[in-house]
Amino acid sequence: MNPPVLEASDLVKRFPVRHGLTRRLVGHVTAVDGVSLCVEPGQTLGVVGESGCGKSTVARLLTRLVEPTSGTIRVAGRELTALDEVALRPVRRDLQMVFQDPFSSLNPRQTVQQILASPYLYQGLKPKEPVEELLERVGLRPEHAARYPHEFSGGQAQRVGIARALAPRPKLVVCDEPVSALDVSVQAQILNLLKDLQEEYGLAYVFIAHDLGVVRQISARVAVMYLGAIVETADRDTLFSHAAHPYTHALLSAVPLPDPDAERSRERITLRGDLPSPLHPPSGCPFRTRCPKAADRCAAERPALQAIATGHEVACHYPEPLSAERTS
Amino acid sequence: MTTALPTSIPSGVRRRAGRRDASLLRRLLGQPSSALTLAVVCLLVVAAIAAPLITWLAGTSPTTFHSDAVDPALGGLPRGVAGGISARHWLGVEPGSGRDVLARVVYGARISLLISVLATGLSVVLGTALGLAAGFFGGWVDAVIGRLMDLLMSFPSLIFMIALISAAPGVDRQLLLVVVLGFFGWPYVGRLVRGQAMVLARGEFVAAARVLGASRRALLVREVLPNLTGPVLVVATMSIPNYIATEAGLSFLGIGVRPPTPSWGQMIASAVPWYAADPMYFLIPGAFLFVTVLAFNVLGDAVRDALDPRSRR
Repeated sequence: MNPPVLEASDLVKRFPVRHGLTRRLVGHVTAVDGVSLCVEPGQTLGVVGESGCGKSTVARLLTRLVEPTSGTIRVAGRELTALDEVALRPVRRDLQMVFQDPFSSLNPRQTVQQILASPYLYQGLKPKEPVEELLERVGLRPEHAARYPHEFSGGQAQRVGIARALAPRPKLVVCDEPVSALDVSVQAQILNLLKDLQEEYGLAYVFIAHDLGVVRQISARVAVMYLGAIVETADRDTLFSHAAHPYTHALLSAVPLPDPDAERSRERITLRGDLPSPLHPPSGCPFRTRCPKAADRCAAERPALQAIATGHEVACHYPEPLSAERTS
Repeated sequence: MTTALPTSIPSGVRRRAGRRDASLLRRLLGQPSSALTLAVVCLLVVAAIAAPLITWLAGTSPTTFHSDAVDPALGGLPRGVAGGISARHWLGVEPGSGRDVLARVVYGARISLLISVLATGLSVVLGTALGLAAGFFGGWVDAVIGRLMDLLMSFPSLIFMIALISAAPGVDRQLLLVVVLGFFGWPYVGRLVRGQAMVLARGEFVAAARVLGASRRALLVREVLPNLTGPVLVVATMSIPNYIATEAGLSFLGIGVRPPTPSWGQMIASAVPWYAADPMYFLIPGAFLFVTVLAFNVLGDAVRDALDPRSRR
């Protein structure tokens, strides 16, 4: 087994909540509560969860856009939580990011030429390849180099964002909902592009999304997040066929099936209520307030992430039995 | 700002870089009102720069006394109609001394424009630098700069200017005016730049540059600053008429430009005792001041509309 390209352990991010004129500290929002991730070279880890579950904060922690409250991040064997901005700069070549909104992630006053020169300029490197070639690799034409971002469609602009992330030849790219802002047909094109680039350059991805279909298409492994913590992680096929956490079940049952008969006859788990406030998380299991199987033990004791099979970990006191087949 | 690009730039890119400015000019010329004000402003700037040429052509100078052009029997009232307008003195002469009004008006335009442009330059540089730092870094930097801006804006600046200028007799008045106007003017630029920089600093393209390993300097200069040129250009254009009016006001109060250097405010002040007998002497510098301030204000509005993406057709 290859050494992992990314190893994050026990990441915690608390944001202080201040109130009133004196900016009095009234509490903390725990956006990320003990997340550990591991990604092997050339592999894709999908991270799913509903809005507000902390997946974007995880992306920003991994790229050090947000400082973790505690925990460690190792990229290609180097611990980077202790590094300052200057020491971090060379590590950033290995670790790039693709953003959700393709337009707001491109400087409106720079041409594509200038945008794609930035990675080398900021790293103090000689360009590894001309901008024209970089553009061709992401499916754009060389003459696009002279254009400004607003002259592109969303899909084209996202290709520019991908080309920029690709320029320093990273080992790992954190994709924070890279296709959520795009039309479905364009989503497929971008996903295929990301897959092709992965094969060509041996890239590893942390692919954050709220769309299970998208994650299923691109991931080798999937982690499911709920209220700042990972509740289940497994290989893609295992997760989609043998989900053990009730929350994962609920998510999977929300995906519409293409066959109308199967769609009508299947059992659907509907979650009641909203995501609890991370300012006042429930006691014990964070999911117990919406869980159909919640019992007394769930309120008293927080379940730890435990392996129930090789490579399949669940944080639940009463996981679904592994024999429970789910067809989809 | 020039940015060294590590790769050679295709000619198409260079052509595009100047495109935005070209399109701003085209937009301004496309509207009759803004084209007219742009023409008025250009004419004034040319007149101010060419003041020696104009007076040479008219055969006058701003400081020469023409005792023959005024009537001592009437207390120094200009001879002839409408304040002594004649082939020799195109806009008449000053009552009492007989100095040529045209020469004094074009030399006065030099002073007005020079002081207002330099004061604008100073306030834009200070306001952009401090506003950018406050908005980008936030925290205590923002707190210190923010309170300083509040203090300066709530300060009775006119009274302070009067006190300061009269308390510094030996200092060059024009330089002092530029420094004082610029110093009290930068918070208005700074407040705008701060707000814009705060929004931009949180933008995803700044986050993207950070992920690429950009230094703080590169983030400020290469990523954020170019996005501020539009709003800064607008406040600069808007503040020029303000400074022209303030300089005229200070000169009117006798604490602006020192005679015999001509200035519009000074001319208006000296016309006050003559307004009944020789209204032209009051009207001419007043009209120049009014047209200049109006033209710059309308131009500022036009620049803002032309740069506002929502008003683009």
